[in-house]
Amino acid sequence: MTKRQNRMALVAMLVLGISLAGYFALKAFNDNLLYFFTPTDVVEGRAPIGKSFRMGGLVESDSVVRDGMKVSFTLTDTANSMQVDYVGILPDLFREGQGIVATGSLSQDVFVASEVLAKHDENYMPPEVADALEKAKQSK
Amino acid sequence: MTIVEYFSFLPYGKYAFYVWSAYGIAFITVATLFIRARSNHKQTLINLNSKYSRQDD
Amino acid sequence: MWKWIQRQASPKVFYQTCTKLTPWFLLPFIVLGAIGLYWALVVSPADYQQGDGYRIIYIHVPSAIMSMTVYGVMAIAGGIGLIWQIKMAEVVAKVSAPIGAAFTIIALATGAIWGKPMWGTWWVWDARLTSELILLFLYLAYMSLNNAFDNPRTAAKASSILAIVGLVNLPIIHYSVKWWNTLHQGYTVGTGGLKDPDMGIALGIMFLVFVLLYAALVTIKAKTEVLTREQNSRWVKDLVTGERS
Repeated sequence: MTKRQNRMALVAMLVLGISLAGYFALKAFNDNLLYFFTPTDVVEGRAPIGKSFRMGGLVESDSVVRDGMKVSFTLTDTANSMQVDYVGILPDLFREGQGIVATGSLSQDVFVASEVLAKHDENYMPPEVADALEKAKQSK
Repeated sequence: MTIVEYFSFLPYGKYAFYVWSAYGIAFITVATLFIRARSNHKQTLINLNSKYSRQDD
Repeated sequence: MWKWIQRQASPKVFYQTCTKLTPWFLLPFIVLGAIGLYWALVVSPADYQQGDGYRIIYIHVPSAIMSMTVYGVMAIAGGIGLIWQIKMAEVVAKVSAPIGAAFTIIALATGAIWGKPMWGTWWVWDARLTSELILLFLYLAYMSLNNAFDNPRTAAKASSILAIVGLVNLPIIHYSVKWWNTLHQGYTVGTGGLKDPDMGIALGIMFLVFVLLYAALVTIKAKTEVLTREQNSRWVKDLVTGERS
């Protein structure tokens, strides 16, 4: 092997080794990297019940009940859903059908949230386009 | 009156503070990159010049 | 071919090439920058949910993509320097680092400013935001390691290895929104997320503007670096003393 090939092999081994190490590290920490749990995770007991954790999903249509600063609504991942109670200021994007992430803990099948963050999707469009898409969806 | 409300007279209303400060930070960062690149080049030329004139003496 | 590359990689020819190229990047950057800003701030329509607040996308997304691209360029140039001992590749790697770090800072700052009104928070420790922050630390580590050596060749070797090791972070940043639940949304680019043609044009131009910005800065900064490294060669002395008179 020439010197150059030697160096090439060294760099290749470096890349390979680091990728493998990275892969295994990510596999090991996979659960810690989840920012939130879904209602299905909670129902199936995968969420750290008893501790504070984050739950994410969509705000179910016609489920929002407001009473001053108090809000309660149903959070769903379409398979399972869960009632969320929250007191405080909601982000601008909070609305029915919106994705949100709530921080809090479970008390008797109700998720009591201390913080509600909105998760917006990857689509951007002017209101006319949004209306047209909505109409097309309904006429289907 | 919050700072967000204070800047709401600008275009984009209630989002004016956020949009303009985002564009402002980007502009300042890019301007800093150019200014530093120029001043580094000038400084290098000055340093090398003085080094060469010392050698010539 | 190999001869041609070697000729291009000689410090003097490389310096002259940079001098020639700079205006070809700088002028389009300024012109397209003005057009891009006009398209982003005036022509493109408001979003149905986020109103005018979404306009931050036109700097956030290009700077975020470029923060990763520049890192890739830096690591690959560093690798080329390691394997083929091409000094000018080391120069490109070194001068790319502060530019990439600046792009990362822009991406993080504009993201935070966007997050506050939309998500309701400046910052969360989700996989996307955390891995992008790690990218900034990688750039900073690269720069301080590169500065820690007196000999530029040794500095280039040590920091190139660090850059190659850090490459593992790039796929993590890119796929973080797919692999894990994150507060950050999924891909807009490549999925037709921008439903209005003017939005697409604005983002496209702004991306080009960031590419030109990087290219222009590299050619400017590389010249300074070449002068410092080659200060003992005859042509640098002639050039520098010539500029004085």
